[in-house]
Amino acid sequence: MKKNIVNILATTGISLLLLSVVALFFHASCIYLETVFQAFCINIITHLGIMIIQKIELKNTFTEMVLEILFIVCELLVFGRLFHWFASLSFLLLVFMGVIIYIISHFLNLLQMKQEAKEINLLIKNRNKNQD
Amino acid sequence: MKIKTEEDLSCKEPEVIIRYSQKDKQINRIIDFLQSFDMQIKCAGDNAEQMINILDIYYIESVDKKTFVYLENAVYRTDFRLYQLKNKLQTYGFVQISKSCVLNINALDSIRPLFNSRMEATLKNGEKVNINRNYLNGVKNALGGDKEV
Repeated sequence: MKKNIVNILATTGISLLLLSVVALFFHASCIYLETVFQAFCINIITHLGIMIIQKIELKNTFTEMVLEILFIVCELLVFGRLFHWFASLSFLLLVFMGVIIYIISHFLNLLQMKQEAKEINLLIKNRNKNQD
Repeated sequence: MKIKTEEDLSCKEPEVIIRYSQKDKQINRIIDFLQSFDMQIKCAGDNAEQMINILDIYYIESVDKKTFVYLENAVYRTDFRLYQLKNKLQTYGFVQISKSCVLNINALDSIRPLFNSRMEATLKNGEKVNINRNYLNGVKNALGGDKEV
């Protein structure tokens, strides 16, 4: 649970940072406060969706990733309309941002997993040492 | 830990006495390990039924509602369901690593991360199986010697 909350906050931070970069690129001067909460809300739903997809445990990793990206695209389409994002952003740009955030999150996740693998390998090593 | 062995020709079957001042995690592990020596499960071989010692099992997998028991160099089918075996064997170092697989933690050699929240476990016979992230805590607990995972 704690890990999920940290992950949601981390991806929300990445989303807002990326949004600021895009906004700067288009010479915008500010981000609305409501955008911060909208981004937070979208990230909670994304994490829940991805958690459900990963619970299915598809054999093929590629299929699983395609499904996750499809979920994000559909979510952006629905919430983009709901939050009137398409008035200032094109759908393609929004999808591009979504995919970039997805890739960055996966990279960070991989780093976290590497650390966990290291801890587990140490436990295995200690266990084998005790058995010898 | 001191280990003493004694030859007694009148002894009909081996007898193990564990002497301790306090029953801790390590003592429980020794007891579980010794108990697992006599524990067998019924499997279907090529021609006839066979009793497989649980210490020889590397992992158990469920494929299309059929349960397969993987040994170092052999595979057997069993009539038990995966959840039944998981419940039966969890005190003997078996831990669920995905929806369809239960691993003998003693057969685990190393682990490495894969993309999309999965880990690849290499077993002592070189075989590789995937560990789902949701079950990683269970693996950690089992390696730490916790009974219930």
